Amino acid sequence: MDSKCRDTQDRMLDWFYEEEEDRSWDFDHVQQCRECQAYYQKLLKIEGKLPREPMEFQASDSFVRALEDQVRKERMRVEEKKEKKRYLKELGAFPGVAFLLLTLMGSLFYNGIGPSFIQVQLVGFLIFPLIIPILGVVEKKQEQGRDSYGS
Amino acid sequence: MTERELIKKAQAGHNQALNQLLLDNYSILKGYLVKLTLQKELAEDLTQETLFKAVKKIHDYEPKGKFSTWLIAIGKNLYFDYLRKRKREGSFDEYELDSSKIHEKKGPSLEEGVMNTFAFDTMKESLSKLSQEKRSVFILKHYYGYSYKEIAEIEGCPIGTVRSRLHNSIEEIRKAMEKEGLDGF
Repeated sequence: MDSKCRDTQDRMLDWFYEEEEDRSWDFDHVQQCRECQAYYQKLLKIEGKLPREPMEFQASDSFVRALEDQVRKERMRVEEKKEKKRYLKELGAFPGVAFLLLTLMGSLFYNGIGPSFIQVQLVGFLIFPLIIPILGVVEKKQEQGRDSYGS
Repeated sequence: MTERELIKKAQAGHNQALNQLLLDNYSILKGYLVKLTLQKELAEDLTQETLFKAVKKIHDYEPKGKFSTWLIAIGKNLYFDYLRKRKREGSFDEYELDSSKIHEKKGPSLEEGVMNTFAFDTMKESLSKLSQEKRSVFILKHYYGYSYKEIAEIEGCPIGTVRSRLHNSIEEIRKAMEKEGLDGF
């Protein structure tokens, strides 16, 4: 087969299978070339023997149910995986934060400001419960102010 | 709802969208696998396996072309894996049913109605002469009208190879038909 025939048959094939919209092959060549004419006939005969309509299949009810079940199971698996990941993250975060705090404390003591840090903490712990009622009163007043402004 | 919307929903965790997406493509996938394997029961099992695998991999799917091209690529790879495994095991027996898989044991379905024995035998006769790679390309082009680009994606080969496989398939089918003297070649 020469290159002209090869090119013509490629173009015939492309057009036949709707890869190309137009018949772009050399008509003069086809009129003179038996090989290319035969090739076109081949395409037509194959189509006659093997009709191009795709077959229709319908999923059985049991198949649909099995598929739905599989989808559900897969979703659960993904969710469980996510949950496990989150749990491991949290589990890892706790020793991480504890280690960080201990290191901080260690470095404070090492630098000699540990006792004063503890003193500040103690004062904070003692004062904080006393502040809570005051915070409540302040919040209430703010709300009252907002209400009177609104009316 | 368009296919893209269904894909988006399915990837976001919407079960119904995923079911619909898979069932919408069931017919095309099974049709392709029936023609590729030329064994209805094997095709049924592979269809099931393909869809189950798609359920697991839906988050990895990147919607570039048709969703069916992705499913067909999975189905084709599963079939080729199956053939490799059988070759390794040296098994050439007819496909045996796996009892764990779902099979309809009732009378002829719509499938049998459309695809009668004669049509199936004719198709089997013609397609069985082709190698698996050529058969796959021929089926995708001849029966489903996929573009060369889509077929190249499914087959994982260049467009030129797709075209030459199609050429060769036509040549081989013609030769087989000529040998059988079926239609005056």
